[in-house]
Amino acid sequence: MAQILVVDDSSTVRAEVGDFLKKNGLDVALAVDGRDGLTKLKGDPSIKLVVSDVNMPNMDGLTMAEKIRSELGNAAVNIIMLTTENSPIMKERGKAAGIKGWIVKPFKGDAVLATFKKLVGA
Amino acid sequence: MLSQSAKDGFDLLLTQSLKNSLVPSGTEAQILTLTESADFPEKQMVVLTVSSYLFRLMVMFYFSPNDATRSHFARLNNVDEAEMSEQTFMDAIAESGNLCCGILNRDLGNFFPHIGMSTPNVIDKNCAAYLQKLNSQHIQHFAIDMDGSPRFHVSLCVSAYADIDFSVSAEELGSDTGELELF
Repeated sequence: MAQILVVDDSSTVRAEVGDFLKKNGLDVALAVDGRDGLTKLKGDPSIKLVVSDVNMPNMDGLTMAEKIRSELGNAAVNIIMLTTENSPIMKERGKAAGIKGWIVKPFKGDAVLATFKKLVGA
Repeated sequence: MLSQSAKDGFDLLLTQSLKNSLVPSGTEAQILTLTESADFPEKQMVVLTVSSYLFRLMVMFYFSPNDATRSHFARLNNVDEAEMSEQTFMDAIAESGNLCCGILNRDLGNFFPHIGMSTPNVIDKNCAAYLQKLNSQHIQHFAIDMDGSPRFHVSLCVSAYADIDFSVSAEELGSDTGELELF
């Protein structure tokens, strides 16, 4: 049972983000790419927030976001992209998929913790 | 085909990106532009490309997988050095390159709207000897000195497909990273 699912192909980013959130009292699950993220989300209905990279092998983060809405039919989970990308075109695609927000790496946990907690109801 | 202003712009943007990706928080760092290429002592390099239809640039981050480098990347990522597996260590190096070029890619996007970057690849440092074969218009080497870390070297190699001229001033460079943009 987790509140937040962190999806990134980099183990460094998974550890950095995951450890920060755990230290601040949040339950975290990890996934290595979009395909893994879909599987983890499908298996854990307690997840309220997905924090995902964009560029990943097997399935990118924006495709995963689109499939969360279409294939899983999950309109409730909040999705935030955490990526080096800052392209308006990508953001528009994300908005169309119903993502909640966008963070340009590097991750600065203190800047987003309060919002993350609010999104998961903590 | 590359104006001097454009060359200086690429150099400045990369220098800024390096400061924001390779230097641990609170650490003093000096980035030197090397006037001559040298046979750097590192054994391997992480290579990424940033491309538009007007140019392609490669950034090479040289490193040796030794204890000093491991210690640096542990400090950079706030992790216990003893807990860094070989895979975690290599991933941390690649992710630093990815982050650096992500920042560079984003900043260049202010001048070139259609732009994208590769994922990081680790290759043998000896491949750098063939950089001239790319017919690049601009090759620049940098050295990064930080307290408590080994000297790192980075090379920038820009190939232009058209006339390119843009200018970047240090004052214009801002940091809008890490903030959550809500939709």
